[in-house]
Amino acid sequence: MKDNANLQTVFYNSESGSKIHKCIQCGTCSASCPMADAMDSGPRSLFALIRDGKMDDVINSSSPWMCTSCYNCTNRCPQQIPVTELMYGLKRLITASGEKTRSNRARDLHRSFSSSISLFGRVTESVVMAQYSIRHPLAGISSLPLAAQLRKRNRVELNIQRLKHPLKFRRSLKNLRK
Amino acid sequence: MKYAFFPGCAHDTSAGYKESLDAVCSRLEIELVEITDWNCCGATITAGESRISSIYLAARSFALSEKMGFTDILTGCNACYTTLRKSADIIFLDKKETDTGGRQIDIVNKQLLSEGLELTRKINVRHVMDVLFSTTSDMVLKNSRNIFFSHINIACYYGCQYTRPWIEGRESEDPQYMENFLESLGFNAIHHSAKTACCGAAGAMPNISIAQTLVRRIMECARKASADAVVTICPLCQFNLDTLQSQQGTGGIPVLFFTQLMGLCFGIEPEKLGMEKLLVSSENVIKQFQHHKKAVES
Repeated sequence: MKDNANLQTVFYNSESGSKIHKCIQCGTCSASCPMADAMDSGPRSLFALIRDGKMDDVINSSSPWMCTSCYNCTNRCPQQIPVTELMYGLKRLITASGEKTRSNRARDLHRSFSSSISLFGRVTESVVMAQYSIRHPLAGISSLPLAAQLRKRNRVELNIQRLKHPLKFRRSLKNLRK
Repeated sequence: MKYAFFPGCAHDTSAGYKESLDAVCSRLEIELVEITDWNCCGATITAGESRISSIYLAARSFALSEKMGFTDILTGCNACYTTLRKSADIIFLDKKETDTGGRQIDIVNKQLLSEGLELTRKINVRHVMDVLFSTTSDMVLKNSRNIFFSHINIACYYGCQYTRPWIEGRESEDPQYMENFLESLGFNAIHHSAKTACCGAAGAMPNISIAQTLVRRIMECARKASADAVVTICPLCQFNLDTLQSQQGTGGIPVLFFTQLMGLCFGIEPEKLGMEKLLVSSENVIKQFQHHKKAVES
């Protein structure tokens, strides 16, 4: 699935993907984005890359994982393009393309969060933090003072929060993704 | 009134949201019934993996509340609120056939059956702030109102996900309803330009330096407007504003939940509102309250 033209078609055929044909490249999305400074390409330039068929650059971008889903871009786009939804779409496209995008911390946080959902059905912050720390030990160590402060205020849950039948739940998620 | 309550994963460990919401609700005679075996809404994560999974996460909690006989679900978290509302729109309004055939609701219902659940009725997702504000009667407002509160400057912070465009009639750049409500309780709601700016959300962990910049900007706006406290409606907003401020060193403005402020107005003791759980101390606000209370009583 690494073929550029193919990936472009997949994107256009995905949910709301074809809406980027309406993009006027005004840059309101990127200017409204709180995370733009952390992105290699803001939403405006990602859309330009897609339309140019430069899908290699798109699937190697870490930008979609930087998106916090604040919806500023969606809110303000003069062409009513659901930019945030397209960021979700790009994450799915990159994952499906099988491209081994170089590890980025935001994507690793997504992974830690997501594995908590599929394993337990709920998210326990301390568990997500522990999983993330395995991938990024330094980040884990530097968050210890904060964890201690929160613990002192009875704000750290150490018991894993889970559903009554997490296995059934996990099977459901698996079936749906088939 | 009785509602189904979707706490979300961050409710119990928040800085007193749970305590203050419970206290205020019991005063307003609102009963929040936790949805039995509710699951994570998927927040901003699951939609980036699988669209149908993210819809399923919402549908499962909807079906559980239907089973308990509810039509309205309340949540106090902006991310849960937006995620569930978006899925509700897809589930209940989208009549389109999907690529794989069948409407979304049929696909998720087929899977729900394996967990002994079914979704047959429309569910309304509402933010607790909306329900609490509309439930508080004029009489309660009048009785809780205190002219001395007008010395306390409050900066309302809505965060990003609550005011978004799919929610009709909501002003997304410069909303006013929290201000109006708190003013009717007697507070001085100040105006600032960061009401709906993003706090960094889950991105605060992997991109802490950017989150620091975002939080600094929000707090700077509040400080310039002479805020004594910032008021939030979301556990993640409160967490980021509170913890990142405390890491920035001296001083700081306390970041409270709107329910803690309501609780104080209703005469509930600060310790019953979980106010000691904040990192940036809210002592300045509590002291003003107690000072004014004494002045009124003497």
